[in-house]
Amino acid sequence: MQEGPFGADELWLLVAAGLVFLMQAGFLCLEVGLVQTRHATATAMKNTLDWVVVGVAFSLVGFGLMFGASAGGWIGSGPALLGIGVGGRDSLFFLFQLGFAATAATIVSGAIAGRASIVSYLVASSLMALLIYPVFGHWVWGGALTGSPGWLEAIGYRDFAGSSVVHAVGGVVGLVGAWIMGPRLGRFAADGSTRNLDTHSFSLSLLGVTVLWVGWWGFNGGSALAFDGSVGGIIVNTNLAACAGSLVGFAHARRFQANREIEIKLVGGLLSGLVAITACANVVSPLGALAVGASAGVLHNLASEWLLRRARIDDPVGAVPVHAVCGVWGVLCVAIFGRADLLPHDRLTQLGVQALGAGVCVAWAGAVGWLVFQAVRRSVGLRVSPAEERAGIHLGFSGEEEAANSAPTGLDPDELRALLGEAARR
Amino acid sequence: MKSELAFDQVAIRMGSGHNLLAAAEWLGLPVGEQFELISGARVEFLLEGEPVPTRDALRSMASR
Repeated sequence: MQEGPFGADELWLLVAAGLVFLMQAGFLCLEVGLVQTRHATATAMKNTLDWVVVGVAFSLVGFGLMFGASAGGWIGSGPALLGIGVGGRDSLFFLFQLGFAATAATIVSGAIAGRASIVSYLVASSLMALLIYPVFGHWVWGGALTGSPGWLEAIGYRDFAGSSVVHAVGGVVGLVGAWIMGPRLGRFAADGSTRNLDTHSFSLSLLGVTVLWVGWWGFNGGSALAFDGSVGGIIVNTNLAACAGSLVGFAHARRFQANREIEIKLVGGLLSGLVAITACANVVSPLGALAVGASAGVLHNLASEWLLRRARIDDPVGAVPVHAVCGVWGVLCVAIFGRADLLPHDRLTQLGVQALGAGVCVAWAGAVGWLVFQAVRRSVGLRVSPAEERAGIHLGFSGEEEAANSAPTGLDPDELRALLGEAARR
Repeated sequence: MKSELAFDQVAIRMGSGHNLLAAAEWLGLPVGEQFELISGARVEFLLEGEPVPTRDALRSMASR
């Protein structure tokens, strides 16, 4: 633990931590802009709560599990168990990492926006910061403070700034949540076709994307953990991938997807480029960064259409195609586009290791996310009431309309039994 | 005479929240469980997100 005086490395880490915190504002604007107007305030509130909940849970438990002394590469423990106990330079590292944990939690909240109850949301966010994110994070980055690496890191798995650790983990948990929770009311017609729901303000979403974009300079640039010669190149690559993802996402939607939701494809492609380059910004050339971003733009569009029109999963902010799909793609890009002299293994072996790590990420986040959402579903329920969803979600919903809709049916028990019995015989 | 179901989703009230079932999931529940949920006023039938009177929903189930 370095106590100071601090130099440029520490100053850069603090600036980068601030930029990553700023991304919370970006996510807030992005998500509020894409949900229905009546849910705008609740969505903003939940995004704010991300930092509050994660700030406590990651400080008290998550940080130690992720960066404490490793038990066989599987879990961290020891003196760092209480993140608030860190000091000196480690405090700056903690702040930087806190922003990453909050980002992972925010991705989940976007996928389940517009119908999640506050309880299910708080449970999901807490467990992201307490368990799901830090455990996988330990496997990949666990040696950052102690030098004792997690098991994936030890076999040569590389994810520079978190395409899998942050984005795919958040995106996969979000996918599981959106699937188990079901769509927003009215998202699909009775015949299964999709229906467009109003969005609050696409302009606000664009502002959010711009804030996220500059925040990503800190997210990736700060992951060098030093203000050295690599930082400029990492940020240039980050920027190039975003531009390529946006342009290709837009062009692909125009040429091959009949302009469907083309605005979403443009910003989704941009964010997908950012997510994909996050794993490999330190090992690809600028040309490679363009290729990473461009391929992510196409993948985003394909995944986005499949999710909505085939799988019929309602993801109001497009969190799954951006973060889950392009997060996985990003870690594969390490082996595909990374400079050979910067990889631990030959390219083919590296691709195998990256695929293994991505598979482990999806399996871990998917399995624990499934258990968490099923537990909430079976105990207290996942969603707000239909009445609240129609009126607009807010924390102080009175429930008067809900009570009216839950009034006794007017059917006497015999009539009810007869109707249900008749239906059962059909 | 066979007719269409009058609902496509069913909201079930749990403790402090709700769960949403597709019509097929609801039809797959045991009759006894359906009876308990309806008589406990814990069910709201929905068509494209809008509420459907319980009696109409049940009659459409019985006349399919």
